[in-house]
Order: sequence, then C-alpha cells, then structure tokens
Amino acid sequence: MTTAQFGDNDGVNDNRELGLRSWWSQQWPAIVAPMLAAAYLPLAVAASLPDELLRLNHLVLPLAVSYAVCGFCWALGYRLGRSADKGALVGIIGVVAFSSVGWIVTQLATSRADRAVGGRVGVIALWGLAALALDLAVVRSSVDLARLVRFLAVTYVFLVTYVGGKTAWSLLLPARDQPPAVSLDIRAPATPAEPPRDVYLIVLDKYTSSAVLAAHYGFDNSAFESELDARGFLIPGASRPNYVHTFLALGSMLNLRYLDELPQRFGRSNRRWDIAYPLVENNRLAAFLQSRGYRFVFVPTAFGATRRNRHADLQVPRAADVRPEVHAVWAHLTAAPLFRSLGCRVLGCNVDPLPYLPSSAKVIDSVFHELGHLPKSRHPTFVLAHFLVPHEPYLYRADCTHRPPYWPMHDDGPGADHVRAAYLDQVRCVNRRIIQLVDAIRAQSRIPPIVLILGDHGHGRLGRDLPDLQQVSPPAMLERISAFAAYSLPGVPADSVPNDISPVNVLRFVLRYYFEADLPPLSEATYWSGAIHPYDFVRVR
Amino acid sequence: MLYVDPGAGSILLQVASAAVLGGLLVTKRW
Repeated sequence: MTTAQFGDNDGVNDNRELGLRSWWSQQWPAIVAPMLAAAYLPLAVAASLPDELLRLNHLVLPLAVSYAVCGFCWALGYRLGRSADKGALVGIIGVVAFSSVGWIVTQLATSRADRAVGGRVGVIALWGLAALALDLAVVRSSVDLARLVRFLAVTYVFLVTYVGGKTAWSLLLPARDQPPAVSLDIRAPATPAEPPRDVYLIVLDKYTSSAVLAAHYGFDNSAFESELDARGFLIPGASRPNYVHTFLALGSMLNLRYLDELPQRFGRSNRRWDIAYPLVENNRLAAFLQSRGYRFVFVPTAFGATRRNRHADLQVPRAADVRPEVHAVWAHLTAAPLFRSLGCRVLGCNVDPLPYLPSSAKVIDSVFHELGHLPKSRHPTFVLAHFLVPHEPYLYRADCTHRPPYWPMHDDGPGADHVRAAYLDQVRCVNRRIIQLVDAIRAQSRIPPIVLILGDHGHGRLGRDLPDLQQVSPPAMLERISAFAAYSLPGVPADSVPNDISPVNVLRFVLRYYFEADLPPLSEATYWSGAIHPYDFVRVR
Repeated sequence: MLYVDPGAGSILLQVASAAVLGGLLVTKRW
C-alpha cells in the first residue's frame, strides 16, 4: 500500500503512524521500565500477604503514590538529560530510593552505622543524597544508556508478571492456610459437672491499675469499679502482669504458663518479636476450649501478634477489614510517612508520625458493639478480644467521640500533661465501652458467663520503646507492672481469688474451677525486658 | 514486628532471578 493511493492527507497520517511506531520500537523500554518499576513494590507487598489480609482496593493508594513519584522523577530526568532513557533511569532510581528508605531505616535502627550518621534523619539524608548522586551521574552521562534501560524493562517484566500473577491468584482463589496443630496436654474430665459457660477474655492494652492511676495520675477510677462490682465482678486491687510486653503477656496467659524457655530458645540478645507470635496464635487455652466444643471467636487487631488467628471459628471483624495491610506494610518500607510528616510541618498538623498504621476508632467501635451481639450458636463461645486501647494512638475523647490519632514520641518533657490527659480520656472512654459491652454480654447469655477483663501491662510513660530495666526509675517500673483487672467468675467465692493474682494464674484458676483441669496455681512472677532485647528477662517481682 | 513481613530476602531473590533472566534475554544468550 502506497501513500499515493490515498492522497496527501492520508500520507501524513501514515507517516505519523510510522514515526510513532519507529519511536515506540526504539523507546518502549524507557516507558515500560519505569511504569513497571513503580508497580513492583506495591504488588510485591500484596503478593507476600496471606490471602485473607488482601483487598484489591488497598492497592490504589500505594500505586498512585508510586506512579506520582516515578512520573515526577521521569519528567525531571527527561528535562535535564534531554533523553527518554535518562528520564527512565532517573524515574527508576527515584522510585526505588523512595520505596526502600523505610526498610533501610528499620534495618539500621539501633545499629552502630545508625548512630554514626546521627540516627534516622542522617540515614534518610544519606540515602537521598546517594540517589541524587546516581541521578546526576545518569543525567550527565555521555554513554548510550538504551541497552541498560532495555535490560531493566525486561527484568521488570519478569518481576511484575510474577508478583502481579501471584496477587491476582490470591484475589481470585483465596486459600486459608492451615495453622499448626496445638498439642493438648491439659488433663481434665471430658465432661465437667457444670454446664459450659461462655468465656470472654478481654485484654485492654496498657490499662494501668486503679491504685497507680490514683497515685501517679490523680485519677479516681472508683466509679467504674463500683459499676463492675454491682455487676458481680471481683477486682483484685494488686493485679500484676507476668511480662511487660503485650506479645509475651498474651503468649504466657494464653498458654497458661511462664515463657521460661524463650531466653534459651531464641537467645537473650535476640531482637525479633515476631518469632514468639506463634505462641499467641497457637495457644493452649483456645485449643482446650475448642476441644470441649467451644466456638472460638477472635478479634484481630493491627498489632502483629493478634493480626489474625487461623484457629478461630469466627473473626470479628474480618482480618482484612482491620486496616489495609498492603498500605500499612508499603508505608513502612517507603518514604511515604516521611513526606507525610514533612507536609504536616508545612500545614501545621500533628507532626509525630505514628509508628504503625492503626485500625480506626470506627473499627474499634464496631468490635465493641459486635461482641455484645454475636450470632447465636448452639455451642458455648470463647471470645478472645485484644483491644489496642487505652494504648496509644489516642483515638478517643472521654465521651468516646473520635479525635485525630495522636501518638507522642515521648511521654515526659513539655508534653507530659497533654499525654497524661489524652491517656486518661482514652481510659474514660474504654470504661464506658466496657460497661456497655458487659451489659450486652449478660443480656445475650443464657447462663452467667465468665468475663475476664484485664490490662496486659500498665503504662509507665517510658516513650515508644520500652527501655532496659537499668534505665527505668522505680515509679515508672511500678506503673508498668501494675495492671487493671476485673473478673466475673460466677459461683466463685470472692476470697478464693488472691488480690495480687496475675493473668497466668487467673486462667489456670478458670480451667481448674470450671473444667476441673489439672492446673495447680504457679508462683506469681513478673518479668521485665526492654524492647530491643525482649527475651532478656529479669524478674522484678 | 507490627506488620506482616514481606521478607526482604524474598524480594532480593525475586530481583536477582529476574535480573539474571533479563540479562540473558537482552544479551541474547538464549
């Protein structure tokens, strides 16, 4: 076909088309490579998630921000270098640097390199400078970069095909992976004398004991305690946690024993928290109750140890609805929180970045409501609910209306009064919600249920990362190891629950009293460990 | 660890494998 056959006009179009085709055959890698590079990390994060935490719409924000960063860098590289290849390379360098800075900061945190460059800000600045230097080298380069860009384009085709395919597979054919079986080594009669009661274990993160709230905060919690007392609760005034970190406290109470083997098993200098998380998910308490015909209802949270429970018969809410996990992990790896806090400095909003993406107050509200209105079942019910309140971020005012999330970097210093007020407001709101929940639970129970409400540990006001014991003042230590507790144990005489009982022994008591389990009381003990070396236990009480 | 860990090792392995494949393809060694 020749242009003469179709006249001049068509010839121009054809030439244009030919020009476009030849341009595309030359330049496609410079367009395709950065486009795929921008998509890679969000898709890689999505592909790494368990199917039940994945939602397609959660990818929108990470992809949009990635494309914005990459597009901006591409345009800058193109303008300065006057070549599409240079634009592509600057775009890829930009998006890779943006996508990895959070990961680099986390890896170097508390290391010697981190201290040498002046901490987080130094690491970010150096990473940014390295990316800029590389960009400059690309822009000023006089070598032909087409081959390198073609190589990157082909490499990213492989990468994105793999992670995109895996993500699509997860979304189209979700498969719930099976948790390991839990060995049941608790001796108890198969059918106890009493009819089974529903069991509610409600863990309130960082709820300090009323005695310490009065002594350290000047806060009178007696109205709340009186309301619980009127509903038949026992309130051991000197209740203490077994461990000062949530995942250890939960791992211990849910397995009805101390975690004495962990320092040896993992090493005292081990820094990883997540290796102990299976103790929370695969716990003996839930396994025992399920073996006795209980329906296990679990409340997933934004905190890793209680993010989901694959043994649960019902999760309220569904784990994927707690927060957008792709978004949460992606934000943790990238410079997005940094840009957000810089933007906040300009706009004057709260500049303390949240250490992780929490679930919203709306989600917490709905959990409080739904636990009081669970679907009916012919089975007795065991509810394990770990609420991330009154722990930070502060999400509630005293009347339970929502406030902008606030998670201070420090609990002391000039902002100390503000922090204390925010914590007490959240405690007041939690008190209100708990009374509503207890009333709803009682209303939906045929026989009076067992309700255990307890703080996993107290506050301590020691900042975001719990220090080692040597760096903690005695009052702060006391505050951390004094936790609120209130137990509704139908039929149990008040004097059979010691005033300083800890969670491990309360749960052993419940199984002993109601299920005739062979679980004699253990001696009471409380262990301290800092956030950096969580298995370096020191007995403090 | 407050997140589901995407696994830096897994991402690095993916990148390394894809880079080898990409290199082989671009240099027409297969």
